[in-house]
Amino acid sequence: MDEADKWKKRFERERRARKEAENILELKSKELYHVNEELRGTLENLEKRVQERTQELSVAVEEAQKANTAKSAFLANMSHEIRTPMNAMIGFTELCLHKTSPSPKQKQYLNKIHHSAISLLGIINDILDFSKIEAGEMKMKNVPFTLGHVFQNLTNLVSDKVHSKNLDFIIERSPDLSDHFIGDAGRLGQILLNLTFNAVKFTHKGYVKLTIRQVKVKDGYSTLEFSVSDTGIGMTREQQEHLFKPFTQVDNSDTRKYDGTGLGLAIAKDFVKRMDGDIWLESAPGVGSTFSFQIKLKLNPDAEKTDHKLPRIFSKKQVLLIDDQTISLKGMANYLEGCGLNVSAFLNDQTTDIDHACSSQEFDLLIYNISQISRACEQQLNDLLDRHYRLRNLKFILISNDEPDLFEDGLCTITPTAYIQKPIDPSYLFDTILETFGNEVLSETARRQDLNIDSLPLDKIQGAHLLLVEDNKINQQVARELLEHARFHVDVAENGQQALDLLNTKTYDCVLMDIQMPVMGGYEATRHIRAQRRFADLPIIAMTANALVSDKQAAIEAGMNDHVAKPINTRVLFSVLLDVIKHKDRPLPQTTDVQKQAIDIPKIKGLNTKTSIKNLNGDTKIYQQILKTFCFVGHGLLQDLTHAVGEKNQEAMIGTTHTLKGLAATIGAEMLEEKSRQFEYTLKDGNPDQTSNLRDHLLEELHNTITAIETFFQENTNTSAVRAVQDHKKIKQELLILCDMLDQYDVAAEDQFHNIMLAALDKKLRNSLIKIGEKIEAYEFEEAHALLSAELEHLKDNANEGTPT
Amino acid sequence: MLGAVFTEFLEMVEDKFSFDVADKILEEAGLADNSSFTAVGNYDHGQMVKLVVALSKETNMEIDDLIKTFGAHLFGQFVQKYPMFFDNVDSSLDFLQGIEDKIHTEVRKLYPHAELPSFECVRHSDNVLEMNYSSTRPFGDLAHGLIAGCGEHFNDNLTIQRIDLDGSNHVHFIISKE
Repeated sequence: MDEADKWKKRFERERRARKEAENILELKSKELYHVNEELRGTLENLEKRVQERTQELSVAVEEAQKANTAKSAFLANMSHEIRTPMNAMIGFTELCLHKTSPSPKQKQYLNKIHHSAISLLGIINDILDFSKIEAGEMKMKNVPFTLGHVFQNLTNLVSDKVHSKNLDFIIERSPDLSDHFIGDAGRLGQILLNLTFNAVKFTHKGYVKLTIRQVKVKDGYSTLEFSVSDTGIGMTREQQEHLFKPFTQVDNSDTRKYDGTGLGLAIAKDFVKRMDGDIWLESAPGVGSTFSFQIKLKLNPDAEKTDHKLPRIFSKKQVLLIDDQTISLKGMANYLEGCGLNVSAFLNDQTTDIDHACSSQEFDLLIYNISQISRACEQQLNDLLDRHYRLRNLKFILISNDEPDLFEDGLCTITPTAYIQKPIDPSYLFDTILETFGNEVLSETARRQDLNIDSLPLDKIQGAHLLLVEDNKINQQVARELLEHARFHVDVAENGQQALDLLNTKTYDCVLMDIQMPVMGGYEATRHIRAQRRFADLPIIAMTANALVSDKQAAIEAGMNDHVAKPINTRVLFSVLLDVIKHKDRPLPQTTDVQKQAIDIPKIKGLNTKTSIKNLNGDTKIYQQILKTFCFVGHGLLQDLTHAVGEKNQEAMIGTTHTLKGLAATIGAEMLEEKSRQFEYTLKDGNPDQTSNLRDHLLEELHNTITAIETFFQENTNTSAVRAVQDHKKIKQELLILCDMLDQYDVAAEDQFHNIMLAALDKKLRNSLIKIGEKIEAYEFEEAHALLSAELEHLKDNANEGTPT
Repeated sequence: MLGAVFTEFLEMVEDKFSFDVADKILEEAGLADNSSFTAVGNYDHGQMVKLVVALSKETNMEIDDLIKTFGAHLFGQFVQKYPMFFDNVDSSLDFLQGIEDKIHTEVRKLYPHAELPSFECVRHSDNVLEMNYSSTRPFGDLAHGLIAGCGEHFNDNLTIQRIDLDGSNHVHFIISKE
């Protein structure tokens, strides 16, 4: 083989190798292509499936949302539909119980219906709350409230159950705990009520105790811990695990001895969570359970600091506290000491110790706290009083589970200065102690102050109209008596809002304003007042318990003129009043109540109104209504009588005249009554000579009487525009109250409505009211409420149009 | 332009003429020193034009004829290399009509970036096919040769009428089978 052939062979080999490589490459390319294609296909397929699934899911979500909205709407609707008849049942049962005279058996049945209806309503409310939580529509309020109010409500609601099970319900709070917070009092009350009801439900012997303590205060917020402990059946670990889940109950397997929805704790847990807190429990079977929760509440910056602190005068008072239970003795002793009293506390069987204390020291107040007033305890107490004669002169507060009727009915031989029925709400005890010594405090201060106000030229401002804005009844009483004694006109508003309402209806020379009040506090009220130009010069005096410089500054910053510290020093108060009230001669207030009543008795020619009203137990309102009715009926009788005379229908004449005689007597139309009697007598006796003469006299007298009454009503409604406006305002206020009552499903709404109907004279308003009345009669309170709200809106518009500018 | 066209062209020159002629035209076209071609590469079509021009000069043959001859040769090579394209196809016109859909689709699988000419077809009758060649490159003649090669392969006697529309970039063929 020559070289060329060799090279050619080698070249051919290389060429074949290249071609082979090219083929392999193409093959691999193709494989790669197919794999790629397959991948692309899979990807596309997956993408398509994801898209389909997403679509399916979004449809499903939409459906679910629709279903959920429908469910919520249905529940809301149903709860409305159910609540209306439920409230009717509750309301009418109450009416049956209190306004009719059911037999004992009927009373028992009615009580059961009432009780069942209320628990059913509770269940419905639970379900509504829960569905609201589920639908995310539950919102917490943020309004000022006092713990005292929450506890008072709680006490009112649980006391029946506690009494019927012979349990003790104890509230333990430290007196230095602030009472004023901002938050959702209703929800807090609901949590407490739920836990307390549960505790009562599962406790058959012993007590249920609510303890409140402040865990910390930081940046204007307070963390409070509430614990509800009981001596009930308790729970095992397994039972505790499912406790806060909705629709579960501890005794699901049981024969449902304990009723309830099983939603209460789930709702409570949600509420606590919404208040930045947590809820937990400790429990052991047979020992009892303690549910505790902590929540964060905003401290009310407008509120005064110290609350359950008695005035300094109490710091020397010695209290002898006797209790029949260790658990309540300890709590109450702590509380009273916190209030500023000196307490010697004993169990009622520590006779020797009590005797020793009584002989070695003087006491000012005896507080005797027992479960039940029994002969034995009466004996024990009497023995004690016999042994220590001085104790008989003490103020004496008795606390027990018994009804207060016990004393009215004379079943109890003990006569306390004040009686408190358990459960005890600490604020109530505090007020009672204040009240017990109230006269002493009052008379002391009054005596002291009478001496040094004589030098003040009070006559320059006497007769001025003062508006006292104060929520505490005792303070109201003190201030009112001081001021009225000094011959001022005093009106009282319970809070800032009421004060604003009153300012709109009457003219005042000065406002005395408490600072912390429910609904609207003093600072806020003042800002509202000052916002109106017509009140720019109205003097406003703050009244606060603290005489700090900062308080005075805060008052002045809020737009008040001055500041007076409580308890009120008369000389200081009157000096301030002399400063701020314009000096001039004013008519002085009439002081006697008799005179006040006399104003209300209408004077109508021919009528002895005084006697009639007396016959009606002094109820002028009913009398006026009867007069109105008489006008309608009187016109009819006049016609009937004339007609009967024309037809010579003897029987009809006698009948009509007889009716007239009775009516005339009722309204005190003495002359008319006399003439009717004579005519009736003559008709019956059949002396026809006299009939025509008497008849004419009678018809004339009837005509005159009707005219006199009609004139009276016209004069009283149309004489002065001012009066009409005031009536209008008053009716509006009454309508607002009615509106509130309807909102609360208050059965008394019916009475309130009828009272308004008596007073309302405006024809258009009456027409609207008639429709509202029908709804109220049918117990459709929600509809009535809606109609009334619309009417009030309408009235407001009209009032605006009518206001001269 | 696909590398296969180059390798097949050079092989044809080596076969039909000689290795020396192949060396010469590579020299002439200025591709001797730095260029090499593989079937799976992709090369500038200008180089093909230079090679054809050089071959025409060397052999004193018309460029058109050379390209047509090459087309026929190329078709034969395709038949050998890609026998699967010819399964189930009986007639030259059917094959030609399917180039765009079948062949080019397969080529694109291997060479996704290949710039392939388009063959827009109208089948006038069983025996008459209108083909419109359109390319960025002036190889209407190559197409012509390929069509002829196709006829030979199927043993069809084809009459190819040709109208150049835009040089040899766009060519209108009417192909009739007897």
